[in-house]
Amino acid sequence: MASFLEDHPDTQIPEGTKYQVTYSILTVISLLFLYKSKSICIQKPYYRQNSTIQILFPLLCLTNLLLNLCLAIISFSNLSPRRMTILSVSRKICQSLMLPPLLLVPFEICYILHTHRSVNFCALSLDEKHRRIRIPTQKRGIFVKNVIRLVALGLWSIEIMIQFRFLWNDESWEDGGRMDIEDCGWRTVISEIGNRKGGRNDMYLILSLIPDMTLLWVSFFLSIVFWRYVF
Amino acid sequence: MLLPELILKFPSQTYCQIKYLFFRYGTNSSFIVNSSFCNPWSTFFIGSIGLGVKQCFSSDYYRLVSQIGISFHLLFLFLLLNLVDQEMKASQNFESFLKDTHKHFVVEGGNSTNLNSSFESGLESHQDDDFLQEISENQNVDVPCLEIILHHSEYIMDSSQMSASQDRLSNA
Repeated sequence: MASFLEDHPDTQIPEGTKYQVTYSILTVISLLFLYKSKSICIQKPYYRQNSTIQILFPLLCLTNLLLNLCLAIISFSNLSPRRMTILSVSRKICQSLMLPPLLLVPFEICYILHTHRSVNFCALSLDEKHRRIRIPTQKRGIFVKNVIRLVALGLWSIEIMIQFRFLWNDESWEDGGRMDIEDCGWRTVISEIGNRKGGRNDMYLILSLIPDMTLLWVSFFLSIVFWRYVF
Repeated sequence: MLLPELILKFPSQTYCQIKYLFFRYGTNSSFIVNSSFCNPWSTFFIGSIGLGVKQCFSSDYYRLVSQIGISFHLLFLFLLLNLVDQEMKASQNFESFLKDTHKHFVVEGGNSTNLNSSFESGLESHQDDDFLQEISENQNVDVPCLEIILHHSEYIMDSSQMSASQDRLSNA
């Protein structure tokens, strides 16, 4: 366990008052979110019946709170390296845990709404019960739900592989672990992609952005579905 | 001379058509009707922009910005949850109201052989009475609005209820 922890150091330590202030504010906000999510899942009858929302939505808020708490502790105090690695590993676990609920919860809300009001949605013709369709809508609904769950599982596995560096070592990365590959955005990709010798590192860099990118496209699709529901 | 105007006009016309189609769709599907496209249902779209901003930074600010973006997204997810709950409550109230009125009419005109004719006769006989007034007081709906709803309610009604009442009539 100790060697495992030593293999995953947190290379980039945030310092300065701006990090401390923002992380503490975000921790308070996420605490409020957790309280509110619990009350929503208990009070509202439609969300209480659906087990996916009832479990995953409080889990999402809890992981958000823990993640912000870890970041706040790291930014505030000068810790010993062992505690530092424990905190960074817990931060990575939280960060990878946040991805599946972020994908599944909006989809479930969308599914509940459209089945309840019988509006067509995502290859499900819910408004035509009397017509003869080759595959019945109930089976189609189960299929679509499970496909989304499988996608979430796949993205989660990719995220875990990226966060714990199962695919590459620090040696293969030319800077020798100066940069956290899992913390790079598109700006790094644009600036760094031509400068390196091997193409493998660029592949890892883009692979690390794939789960978030998929999440982004799905959430944009769902948001357009919600918006079209009205206008 | 006319070419620039045509180029400008063609896309604008198609956009207008698309907007009109979306507006028609919305009036059919959403229960709480909104007048324009700047309505509360666009909140989740704004929230998912927060997820997009999250990815665009280099490693110096990535963690900070990603946390802010996710909190932004969660805030709008909460707004969406409340909105969907309101929508479902409104639709459920309307359904229960329709079922209540249907039950009343079936009980009143149960002796006649044809269900539709009994339904219509029930409507006509009760329109002069204080029945509509009572319902409107209970459900907080205007009387002219109620009349329109009752005239169209037989198309919206639950099909299982209709079939059950028809079975009862055939047995009698």
